[in-house]
Amino acid sequence: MAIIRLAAIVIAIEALFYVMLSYYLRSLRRERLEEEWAERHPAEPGDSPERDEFVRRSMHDFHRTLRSRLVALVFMLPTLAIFVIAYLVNNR
Amino acid sequence: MRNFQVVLGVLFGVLVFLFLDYALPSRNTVRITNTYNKLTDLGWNKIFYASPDTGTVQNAQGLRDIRFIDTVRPNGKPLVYRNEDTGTIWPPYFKYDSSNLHAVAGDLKSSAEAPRWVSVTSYGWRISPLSIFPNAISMRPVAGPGDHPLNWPAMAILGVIGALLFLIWRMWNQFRERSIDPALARADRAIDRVDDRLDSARDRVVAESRQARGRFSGWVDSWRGKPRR
Repeated sequence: MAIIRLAAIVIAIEALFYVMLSYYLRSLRRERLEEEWAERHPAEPGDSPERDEFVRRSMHDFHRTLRSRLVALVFMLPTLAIFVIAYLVNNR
Repeated sequence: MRNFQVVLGVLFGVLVFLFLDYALPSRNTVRITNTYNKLTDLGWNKIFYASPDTGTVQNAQGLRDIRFIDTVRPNGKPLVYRNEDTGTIWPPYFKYDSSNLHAVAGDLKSSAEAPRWVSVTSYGWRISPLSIFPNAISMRPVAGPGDHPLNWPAMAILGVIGALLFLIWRMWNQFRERSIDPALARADRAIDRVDDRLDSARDRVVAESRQARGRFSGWVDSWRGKPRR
């Protein structure tokens, strides 16, 4: 029973960090896209429907990059760390 | 209020320090003198022992059978460890091998005349008035009483905690800059717009009522032969 509880807690924390991290990375990416737009259109650097369209299309591409998919590592690395700790503690 | 916040902050810091001091691994170079099991009566101090779900054994009187490891430090003072599984429960050491560890500890026993020094990794405190013992995690022989292997696991855990705090700080700043502040600005603009509309609606009501009153008084005036404006 204890191991099921551990798995539930670990997965819940990992899911929380997955959501926060992917939101954070998307936010960073969107900020960089807006800066890029401002650089390319010095005449009208602010918010506009054209810029929204540009950001939306670029974000759609971003979701398919390896970089955005690496966020899934938050489900693997802590789980791997648990197995490594268990191995080091019990087999040395 | 300011003093209250300072007191709360200091208390919080002390609590965090105590928590980490208890839960993080520490390493001591000691000499093992004895290993044994003891029936132990756990009272309110049972939160400093293994959780009952980790395969602990109790007799009918509620006494728990616990493995202990007696050791002596290089300065001659004793240090007694308990040797219990943590399993998959707190703290997260995932220790299942307390029987094996007990075998190793028994093998490394030595006397004061012919000492064999051992570096024991453990967590917890030894507080004798409360009958609290640190839990031994692993041990390995070292060259002498002055040999203190680097406690790298504690450093690694502290590093990971620091990196996580830094990440959370960066994420919070980004969230405030890109999500909270624009939302607040939008809300401010919406409130301003509602305010403007309310103002213009009130102006219109005032103007229309003045107009209506003007028409009414013009009608009343027409009784007295005044021409309508």
